[in-house]
Amino acid sequence: MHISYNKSKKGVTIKQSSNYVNIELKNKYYDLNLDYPKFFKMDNLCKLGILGVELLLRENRGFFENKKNVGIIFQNKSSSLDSDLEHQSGMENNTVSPAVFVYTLPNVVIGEISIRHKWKSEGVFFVGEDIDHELLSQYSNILLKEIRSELNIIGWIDVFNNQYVLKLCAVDKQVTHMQLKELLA
Amino acid sequence: MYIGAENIISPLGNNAQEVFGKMSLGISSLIDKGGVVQSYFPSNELELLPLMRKSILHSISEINEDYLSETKTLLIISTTKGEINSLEKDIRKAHLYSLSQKLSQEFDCVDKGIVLSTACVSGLQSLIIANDMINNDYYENVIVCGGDLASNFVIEGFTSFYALSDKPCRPFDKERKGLNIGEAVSTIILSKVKNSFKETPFWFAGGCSVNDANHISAPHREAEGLVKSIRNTLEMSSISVDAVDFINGHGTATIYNDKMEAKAFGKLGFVNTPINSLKGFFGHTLGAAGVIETAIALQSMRHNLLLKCQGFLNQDFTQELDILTENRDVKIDAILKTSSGFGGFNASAIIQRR
Repeated sequence: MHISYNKSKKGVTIKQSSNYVNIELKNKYYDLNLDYPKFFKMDNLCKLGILGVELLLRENRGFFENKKNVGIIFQNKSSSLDSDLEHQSGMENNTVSPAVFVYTLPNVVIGEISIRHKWKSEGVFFVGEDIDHELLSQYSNILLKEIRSELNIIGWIDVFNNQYVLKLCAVDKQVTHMQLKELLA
Repeated sequence: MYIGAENIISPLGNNAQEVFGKMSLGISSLIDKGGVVQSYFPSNELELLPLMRKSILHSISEINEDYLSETKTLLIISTTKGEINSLEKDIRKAHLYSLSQKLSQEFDCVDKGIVLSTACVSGLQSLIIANDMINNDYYENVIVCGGDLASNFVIEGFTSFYALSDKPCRPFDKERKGLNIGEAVSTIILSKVKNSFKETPFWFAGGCSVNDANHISAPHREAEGLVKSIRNTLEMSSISVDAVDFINGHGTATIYNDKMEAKAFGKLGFVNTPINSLKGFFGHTLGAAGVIETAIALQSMRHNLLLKCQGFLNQDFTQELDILTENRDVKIDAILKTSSGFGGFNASAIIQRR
């Protein structure tokens, strides 16, 4: 197994174990026995998001049952810079492709996850140098309190320069930023 | 929450009043630059940061002195590509968070700065979250600054999608054939206290976002996400379809986006509500779009003057809509603003006179 993940309450973590990002993500897809060919068209940020949410769902089956209104609140440091650089090199080599350009926006990973799980709900993508537990917990609390979502997936998902990291958790009630910090530890 | 202190820095002018004035005369900043119709600042080494600094400073000057420093204030930077022109030269600068980091350090009245990046929905969603944050007592004021540049990066990308028009765009028109890219920066402030504003503010009643869960780059055929978003927004704002005086849509002038929006407005019964898109004046300004377009909508309310949908001439949809072909003098008490974008995102919000 190339990727380790820790169960901690309802959280999941995918950590990198080598410099072979593409291979690691592909192996994880096969480890999980996913049957979702669209996966192979995605950039690495989206692949990581699809894998992370799949793990989260499998670790928390009962929790997600009958939940339709699932909010997604993500943050990262590198936005979509990984795909931005690929598009940039396409510009230099006259090989610009819409299949790359479409991934030069960080929120597309939320779109891909929403499509896979048919979640038609709130989604937001923040960018910051470090994970902002206060911000993420505040917005999750707002969505739950106003019943704009019944469960939120909150997390940090970053891919850049052959490095990646994902930490996700699911919450269905108000959390303080310290509680969120524990869930995403 | 109260909303106002709007500023715009665009090729049409350096404040909201000036830009609105030019638009009311039918002046557009869309012109041909090297074979691509776009709205751009005449500068070779253009950077976003100084424009944002200037715009935020201007909006802050519209708030009563010291009020922001004495209360808790959040800064939300809305952008899709930030300093994208630095991608090759200086990757640190190209990191989106560097904008909120620098600006929150520069402005003493700002307690925290964050970046929100959800494609073309970024601007409107930033305003919605600003309102949510104040409503839930996390902050007393939120400064929202949206900005993006008309970079080659973006233009080549949209060209590969065959999404650009080689003429000034024509939102909702039968002959529309694509969008134009524009660059701009715009700032709006939301606050808990009405008299913190020097000029009378309006009331941000509420808003929300809904994902289509259908396609990452194509609009939903039945406009499902946008319809659901508007329905929820009307309910949250306790306002009926009939009470909406005006809709400022997203209206990019691509064939499928405008068709989707028209479908949503028709389905919800907005058949006699005046509608416009402002993309024919300054193009699609990406992360700035929701902010600059809301700023113009606020100006429309201040002047009780609806702007025509620049570029629109002929209806294209089975359900005819009241798309503005001329400016219209009319009392406006409630407006609906919508945005839709890549990733299947849709957002909507209601702003009222109060």
